[in-house]
Amino acid sequence: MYQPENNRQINGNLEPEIGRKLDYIFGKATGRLHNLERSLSMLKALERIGIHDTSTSRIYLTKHFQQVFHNPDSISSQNGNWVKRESLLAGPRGFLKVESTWNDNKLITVVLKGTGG
Amino acid sequence: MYLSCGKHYIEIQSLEGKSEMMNVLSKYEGGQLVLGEDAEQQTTFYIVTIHLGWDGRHRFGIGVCSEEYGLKPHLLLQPELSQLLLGFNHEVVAVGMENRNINFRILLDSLFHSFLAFQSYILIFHEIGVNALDNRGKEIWEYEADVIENFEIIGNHLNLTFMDAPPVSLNLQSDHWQESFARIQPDDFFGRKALRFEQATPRVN
Repeated sequence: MYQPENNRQINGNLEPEIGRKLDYIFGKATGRLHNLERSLSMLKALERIGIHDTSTSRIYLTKHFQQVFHNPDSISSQNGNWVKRESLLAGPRGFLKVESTWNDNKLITVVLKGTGG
Repeated sequence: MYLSCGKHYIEIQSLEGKSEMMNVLSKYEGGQLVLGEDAEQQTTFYIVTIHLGWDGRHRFGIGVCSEEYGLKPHLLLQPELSQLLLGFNHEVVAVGMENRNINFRILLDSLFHSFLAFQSYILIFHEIGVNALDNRGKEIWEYEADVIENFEIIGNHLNLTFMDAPPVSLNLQSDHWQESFARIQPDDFFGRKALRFEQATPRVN
């Protein structure tokens, strides 16, 4: 059973590992065609809300995921070490709902929902 | 163009909106199913039309509400079972062409990518892992790690590379899940030497 207080303590000692997921989110995936198309789809969603692939945007997204990781209220479901979190990403021209999947402190993948209008 | 599947033949079309899809389906004499209606963000719509029997005059339709996210639905024909497997959103649905009903449904932990029929297995690739089914739809094992970048099958091994995790090599030869995972391959694959031993998660039904 998930215990928010315990999770907060654990996460307090950890920093999220973003890995290469910012490249994935900003349309720079490698590998199979499915990955490229999915990656470009996320870039388009971000651009619709006015977030483009710049160093500032990457810092902004990194901070977003750090905040999400440290916020136990963001958890929507949990199965062992696997956790799904939901958050709202604000851009200059709108918002996206972000569903992120984590394994412990490692960001595994992200689904960006909404048209950004 | 049509796809032949046993005594039936199949046509696939995409439509502008859900109302158009529902309107087309309502005219099908052989019945209809609509899949993916519980999806939060339905953006693209497809109809799989099965022209039933040799004369093909009766149609059974399967509507699919797809979330897309850059990924298109996939269809795997199983003529020997008179069954279609549809992969889309976070799920795989098996539809029987004789009973015109859902035979089984599998929910995935991430977005569906593709199918691969291999020997007696059907491998379901989703964004962060693989599920293996037997040819009757029973889940044998699943493996999840990270976003899959690439895969290949060499002999009886499924080799996977990931975006932010070490590559693995999974033994597909055994019918027993305990033996299916994962033998450390001495051979280099995808240019990397370091493979790790992984334990599969058995599917308990």
